[in-house]
Amino acid sequence: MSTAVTTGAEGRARVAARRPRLGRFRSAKAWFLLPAVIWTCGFTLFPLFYALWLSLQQSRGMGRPLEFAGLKNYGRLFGDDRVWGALGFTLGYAAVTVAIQIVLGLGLALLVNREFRLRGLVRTLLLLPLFATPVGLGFLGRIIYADAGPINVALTAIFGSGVPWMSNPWSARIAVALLDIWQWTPFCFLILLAGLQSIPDELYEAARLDTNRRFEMLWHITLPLLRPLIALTVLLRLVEALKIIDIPFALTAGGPGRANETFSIFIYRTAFTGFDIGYASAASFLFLVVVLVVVNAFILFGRFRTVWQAGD
Amino acid sequence: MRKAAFLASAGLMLLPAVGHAEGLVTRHPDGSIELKSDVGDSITFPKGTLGSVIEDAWANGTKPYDGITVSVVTLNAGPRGAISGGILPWQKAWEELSGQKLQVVLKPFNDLAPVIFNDLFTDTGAYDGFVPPMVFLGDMKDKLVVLNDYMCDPRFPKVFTNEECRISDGAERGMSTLMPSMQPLFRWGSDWYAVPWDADSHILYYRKDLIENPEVQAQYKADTGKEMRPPQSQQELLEMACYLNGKDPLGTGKNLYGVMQPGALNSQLFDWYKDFADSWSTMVGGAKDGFRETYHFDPDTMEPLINGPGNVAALEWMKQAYACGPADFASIDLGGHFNRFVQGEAAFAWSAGDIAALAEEEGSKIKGNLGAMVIPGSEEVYNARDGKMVHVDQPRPAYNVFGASWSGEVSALSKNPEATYALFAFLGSPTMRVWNVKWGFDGIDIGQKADFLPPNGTAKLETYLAGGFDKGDAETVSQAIHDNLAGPTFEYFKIPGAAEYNLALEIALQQTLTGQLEPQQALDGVAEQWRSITDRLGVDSQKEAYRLTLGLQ
Repeated sequence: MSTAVTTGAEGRARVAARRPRLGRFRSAKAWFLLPAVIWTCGFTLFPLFYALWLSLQQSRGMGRPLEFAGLKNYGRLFGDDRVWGALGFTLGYAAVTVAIQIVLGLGLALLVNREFRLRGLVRTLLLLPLFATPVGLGFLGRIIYADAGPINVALTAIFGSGVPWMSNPWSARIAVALLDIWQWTPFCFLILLAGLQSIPDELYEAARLDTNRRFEMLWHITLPLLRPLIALTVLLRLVEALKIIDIPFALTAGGPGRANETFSIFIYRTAFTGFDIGYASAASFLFLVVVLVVVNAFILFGRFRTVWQAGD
Repeated sequence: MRKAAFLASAGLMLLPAVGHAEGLVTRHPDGSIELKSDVGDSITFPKGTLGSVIEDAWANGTKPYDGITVSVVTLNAGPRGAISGGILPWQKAWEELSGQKLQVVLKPFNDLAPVIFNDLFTDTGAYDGFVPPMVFLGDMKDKLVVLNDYMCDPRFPKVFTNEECRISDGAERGMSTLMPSMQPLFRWGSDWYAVPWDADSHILYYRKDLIENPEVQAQYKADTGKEMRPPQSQQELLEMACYLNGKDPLGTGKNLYGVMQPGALNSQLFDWYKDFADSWSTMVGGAKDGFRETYHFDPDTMEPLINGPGNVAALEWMKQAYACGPADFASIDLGGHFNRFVQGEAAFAWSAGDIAALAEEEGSKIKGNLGAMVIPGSEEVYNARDGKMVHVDQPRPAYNVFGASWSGEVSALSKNPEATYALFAFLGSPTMRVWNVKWGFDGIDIGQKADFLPPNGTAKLETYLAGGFDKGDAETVSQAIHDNLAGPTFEYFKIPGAAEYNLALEIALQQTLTGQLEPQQALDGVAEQWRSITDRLGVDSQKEAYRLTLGLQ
C-alpha cells in the first residue's frame, strides 16, 4: 500500500501549475458574460442615464442646442395639471381593468377547470384575444364602436338608440377599458388555470368529508392556494396596465379631450409633438418612481399579510 | 432536366412582367417626352419643360441620375389615397425617366412629425426629401435646402415661368403661377423651401338638391319665416343646418344630418375651428391690411389672443353646429368626414378640395348636386379697437388657406439634393397639374392658376370631365376655390412649435364639444399652454418668426 504524501513544496507547485488554467477559466467566463454586460450597459444603463441627463436639459425648439436647466423640469411637473390628470387616470384605469381581468380570468379558469367535451377548443378560443396586436385592436374598436358598428346596431335594435361611444368621456373610457379587458383577461385565465390544475384533488376529497358547499371549498382551499399566483398575475398585469398606450391611442388618441390620456400618451406627446424632450424625460422619471412605489407597496402588503397571518 | 425545364418556363413567364416595367417613358421625335402612370393614362411633357438634365440625357440615350437612390417621406394613404396617391402612380415612370431608384417611405399622419424631425435634428439624414404639411416649415427650415436657385435653374423641370424667374426677389416670384394668398406658404421670408404641389384651402360645401330645392325652400320659409339659400353668414348656416338635422325632406327614408365635420383628435380639429373663428375675432383680415389685427398672438408681445371674446363666441357657435351633426362626431376622422358627406348623409360640410374630387368618384351620391362657396363670415365680430363684440350687416367671408398644402422639401442632409429636387419639380410642374386636376384620389387639391377654369385660370373643362367630373360641379368648385383664394385670407400658422400650439387647441376644442369644459374655460387653458410653449421656445425668436409670417418685417 502506497501512500501519497505531498510535501508543502509539491502542493505549492501543483497550485501554481493549476493557476493558469483557472485564469483561463476566469477569462472564458468573462467573455461569456461580456454580451450580457454590453447589453445591460447599452440598452439599460446608457438609456437610463441619458434620459436622466436629458431630464436636466431644456429644449428651446428643434435644432437648437439643449440648455442645462437643473431641476426646472421636475419643478414644472408639480404645477402641471395635465401631469396629475394623466397620472390619476392611469392609476385608476390600471386598478379597475386589472381587478376586472383577475376576477373574470379566475371565473373562466374555474369554469374550464373540469372535464367536458371540446374543452381544448374552448380553452384555445378563450386565449385568442391574447395574440392580437393591441394597436390592431384599437383600430378594430373604431369599427366596433362606430355609429353603424355592430354594438350600436345591436343596441339600436334592442333599446331604440345607440351610444356615441367616443363623444362622451365616460363611454369612451369604458370602450377603451372593455378592449383592454377583452385582450388581457385570457392572460389571467391562462396563469390561474395552470394554478388550479396544480392543486391536488386529495385536498378537495378530504374537504368533502366536511362540506359539499363549493363556495367554502373555493374560499378555504382554492383561493389560499392560488394566492401566490394571483399576486404574481396582478403584479405582472399592473406593471403592463400602468404603461398602457397602444389601445387608447389607436382608438381615441387619448380623447375625447384628455379623457383617455394615459401617462405614456402624455409623455409621448410631450416628446414627439412638442419635442420638449427634457420635460418628457423628467415625466418619465416621475412615472418610474410612481410605478416602483405602486409595485413595492403591493409586494410589501403581500409580505405584511403573510407575516401577520403567520403571527395568528 | 425537369428542374431546368421548370426554371426555363418560369423565366419565360417572368419576361413579360419585366418588360412591362420598362416602356413607361417615350421620347417623341419633336423632343417631347411621354410618361405613363400606373392609373393607365399618360402625360406628355413638351420639349423644354422637363429640364436640360433629363432631356439631354434622353437625347443621348442615357439616364441622368443612374445609380442614385432617392428616399422621400410622405403621408401614407395608399396608392389611391391622398398625397401618397400623387407620387406612387408615377414612381415607376420617374425611375425609368431619371434612372433613380425612388424609395417612397409612407407614414401615418401621427408619425410624420416624429419621423421627419428626428431624422433632421439628430443629423441622421436617412431621407433625401420630405412631402410634409407646410405647418411644419417653421420647425424644419433650418435643416432644408433653400430652393431659390434650383427653382429657376433650366437644368430641372420647370416650375415657374421665365418671366417669374426674372424677378430677383424670391418673395415676389411665382405670383402668376400661384394664387398670391397661397404663395407665402412655401417660403420663409424670401427663401423658398418647398416646391408648390398641393394647395389646401377650406370652403363650404352643401347639397344643391336640398338648399336650392324649391319645395324644401318653401317648407323652410313656412316653418321659420326665413329664406333657404346658400348661407350668407355663419348664423344663417347654423339655422339651416339645425333645421335640416334629423329631417328627411327628400323622402329618402333616412334622416339627414345638418353638418358632417370631423371631431376626432388628429383630424385637424383646430383648422375646422379656425375656419370660422377667425371671422369672429378679426375685423379686417389680419395684419396684411395694415391694421395690426392678428388672430393667434399680439405681434408686439406674443400674448395669446385665442381666449378673446370673438374666439369664445366662435366656439359656442361651433358647439351648436356640431350638435346639429352626428352624435358620434368625436370618432369621425378626416376619411369619415369625406366619405359620409359624399354619401349624402349631411346638408353641409366645410372642408378641403378633397370633397370636391371625391364627390365625383364612383359611389358618390352627391355628384351633380355639389354646391360650393366661400365660407361665410360671422355677423358678430370682436372689435379689438373698442374691445367689444359688434354686429356687422355684411359679414366678411372667411377666406383662408388652412390645411396642409403638402409639398416637396429637400433635406440639407441629403447627399443627392439635385436628384431629389428634380423629383419634386417633376411632380410640381405645370404639366403635371393637368393630371392632378383630373384625378381626385391623389388629394393634390386645386389652387394654382393652372387648375382653375377660365376666366380665373387656364384649365380645360375637358380635363375635369375626363376625370369624371360633372360639368356643373367642376365649374362650381373651380369658382368657389378661386374666390376663396382671391380674397384676403386669414393668417397661416407655421411658426416653430405650430404642431404643439395646435395640439393644445385641438384637445381643448374636443373637451368643449364633448361637454367637459365651457368655451371660456377651455380657451383660457389654451392661452396658458400657448404662453408656456412660447416661453420655452423663446419669446423673442417666436415673435420674430410670427411677425415674419404675417409680413410685418
